[in-house]
Amino acid sequence: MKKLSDWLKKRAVLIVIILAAVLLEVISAIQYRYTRGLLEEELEKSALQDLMTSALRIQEIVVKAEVGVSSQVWHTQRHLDDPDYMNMLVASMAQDGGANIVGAGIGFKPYYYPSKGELFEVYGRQIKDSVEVEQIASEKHDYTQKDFYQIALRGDTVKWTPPYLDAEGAKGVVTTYGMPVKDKRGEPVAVLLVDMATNWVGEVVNQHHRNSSSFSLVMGKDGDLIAGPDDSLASPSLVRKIVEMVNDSTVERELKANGRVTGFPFFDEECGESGHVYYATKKREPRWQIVLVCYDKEVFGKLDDMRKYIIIMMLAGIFVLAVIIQLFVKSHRRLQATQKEQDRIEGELHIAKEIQTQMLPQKNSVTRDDVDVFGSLVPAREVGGDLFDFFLRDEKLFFCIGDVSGKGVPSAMVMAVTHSLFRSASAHENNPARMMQVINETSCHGNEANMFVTLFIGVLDLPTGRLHFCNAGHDKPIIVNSQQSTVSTLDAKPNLPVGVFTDVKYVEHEHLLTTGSTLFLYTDGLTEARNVQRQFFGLERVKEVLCSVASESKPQVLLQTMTDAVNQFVEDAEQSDDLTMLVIHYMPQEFESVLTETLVMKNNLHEVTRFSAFITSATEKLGIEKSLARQLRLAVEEAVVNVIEYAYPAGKEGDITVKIMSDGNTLRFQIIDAGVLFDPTMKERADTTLSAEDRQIGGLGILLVRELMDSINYERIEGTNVLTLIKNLKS
Amino acid sequence: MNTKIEEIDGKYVATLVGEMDTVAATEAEEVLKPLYTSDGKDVIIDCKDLEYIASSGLRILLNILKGAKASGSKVVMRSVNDDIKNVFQLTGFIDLFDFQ
Repeated sequence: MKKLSDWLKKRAVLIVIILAAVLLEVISAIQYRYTRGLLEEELEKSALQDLMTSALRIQEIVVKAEVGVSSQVWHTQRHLDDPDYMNMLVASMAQDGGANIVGAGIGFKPYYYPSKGELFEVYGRQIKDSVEVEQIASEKHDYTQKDFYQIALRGDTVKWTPPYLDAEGAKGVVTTYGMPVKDKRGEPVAVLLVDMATNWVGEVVNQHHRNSSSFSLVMGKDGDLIAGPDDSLASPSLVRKIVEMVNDSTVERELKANGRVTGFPFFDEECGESGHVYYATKKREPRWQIVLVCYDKEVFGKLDDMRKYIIIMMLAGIFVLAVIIQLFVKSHRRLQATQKEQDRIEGELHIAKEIQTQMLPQKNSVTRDDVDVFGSLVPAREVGGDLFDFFLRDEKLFFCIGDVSGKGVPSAMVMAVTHSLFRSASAHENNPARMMQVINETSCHGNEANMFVTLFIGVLDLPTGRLHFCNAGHDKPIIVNSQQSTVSTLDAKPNLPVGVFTDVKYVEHEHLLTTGSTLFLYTDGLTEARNVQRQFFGLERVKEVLCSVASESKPQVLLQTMTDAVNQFVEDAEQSDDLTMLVIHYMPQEFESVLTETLVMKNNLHEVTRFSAFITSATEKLGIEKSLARQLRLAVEEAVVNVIEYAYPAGKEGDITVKIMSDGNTLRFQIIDAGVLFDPTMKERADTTLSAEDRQIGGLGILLVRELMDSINYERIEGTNVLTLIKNLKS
Repeated sequence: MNTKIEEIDGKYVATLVGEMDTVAATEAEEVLKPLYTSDGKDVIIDCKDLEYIASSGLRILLNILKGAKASGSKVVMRSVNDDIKNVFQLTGFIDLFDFQ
């Protein structure tokens, strides 16, 4: 089945063309049949007319001769007593009878005129312009034996005999019309007759025909040929053949009778043409059959020509159709290919969108006791060049928002790269400027397209509310102060966008977030959202909306309010740029310590013994069970040793303060020193899956700290390194 | 803490007693250093009375292990308590040593 349908598909054009050709041929054939039928009817009608015309012409001549005879019968009857009158009579009848009358005669009953003997027949014969009259009766020519005499002597009219050779009177082939001449008692005593030649009949019936190739002939009652056309119209053999056919027609041929006309088709072998023969019998005497022969060529020739033209035009039309269909199919295939390509691109774009969506924080919110984050990104097209990201590491919220120059796929690719760069740069780095530096250097490398990114990176230290940030040309975030219901921008000298120059020195800034304040970050898709009047939404409207919801602590609600506001403003205008917003609500919980123990020690390893005693007594005071106490001791010892080894330059003595705090639920250890900036949390986690040979000696201490504590956090505060270790007691 | 090495049945037996914090580890290392270079004998580290170990102690054990591995001998940890086993677990050391 599949093969068949494939074959059909491949041969579709051919099949369509063959079908069209067959259909057209069928239509044309039907039309041809129909038209031919109409023409045949027409032909029959015209044949009838031709036949009628011929009959009328014959009749006209015949009637004239008949009238000539009947008008003389009365005169003859009045002059019966004068035998000599008869000579005059036949002479004038022969003279006046017309061109077709060969002669006229009168034959009497035997012994009617005793003076004239037994047989008396006077005959006037037309010879050119004169008339020859003679008595033609003899023993050899006994007219009384002839049919016409006997008919007339019975008192009947001789209604034109079949043509015969009259050797005595007319001296030629004639047909005879005669009437009885009666005496005073009304007894027929003689026959008055005219002889009419038959050679004119052929001329008369062929005088005019609708179709020039048609010809007619006349046959007698007995089926003999009376007169035919000129040899130029039809050869004698053809005429003979037609006579035969007409004579045979009633038995052998399928006749087609239409009124008085009977006809049948025939084939003329001589000229290789087919034709029709129509014939009809005259109604009046002489009851001759007039035969009309028509050739199809003349009647149907034009139709056949037309059919030929139609077929040629049809073939030409089909050829053109084939070409057009071929072209159409080609363009359709091309279109199909284009459509397929488009579908593929759309499909890929859809996948790209999915990928891009998955790059964004999967839960687009973070909710903790001390921070609540919510972000949204609405691309103008399938994929966009905006990005935002946030995650928690230690007690810090890392976040970024960015906008790649341009829109669509190229921007989306840069966005994906930038996003990955941010993730890798922030993995072991707490300084946003250094992150920016790394991202910029990598972005600039091979940036032939000169795409750049405005990027804001922030690191919020949650215990202290210190926001470290680096702004690479991005729109300044807005800080919403919920207590005063005021908004302010996070001002700082902006750096160049990422991807412009390699050697940009990015600067980090710091801002202290107050409790309950909200940080609102956005891309220019918000401020530059346009309504149908091409007006910008603008920073002022953004600030107004933020003021109106300043007391709102739920970032999601705030973001939704802003989205609604901008949608209401934009109305039906098309979104022209990606719209991204990130809202961070900061609300640190007060840590109310129920117990605080402090140890100040020197940066000397031997102090560890003091530390051990200190922490053991502190955990005992807090009533922590021994196993956990050992874990805590190990973690803090590792952290303290780390600080002893790295915080101060070699040989320099310094203080290290260790604090233990507890609010009953959480234990906090703080290790504070005034040494050089040293952030152990940025250290990469040691690989615990390596073999003994490959294991490094270092990195175990910080690994243990991370593993044993619930959270650790580093913050440089006013020239001191503050490392905080947190352990939840109730979990 | 107390640290000592004995040779029993052709194996070295290192006995660690007490708390091996960072300071104690430096002292213990002095005793245990000979084990860093193996002479082909297996090493048994007896932890029956070891109550605490910091990462500096782990480093010593790793060095002993590296030395032993180089000569194809084994290091077996004996009678390790749960707290210390937990530390081995967290650092991935549990997969490096044999335990008895």
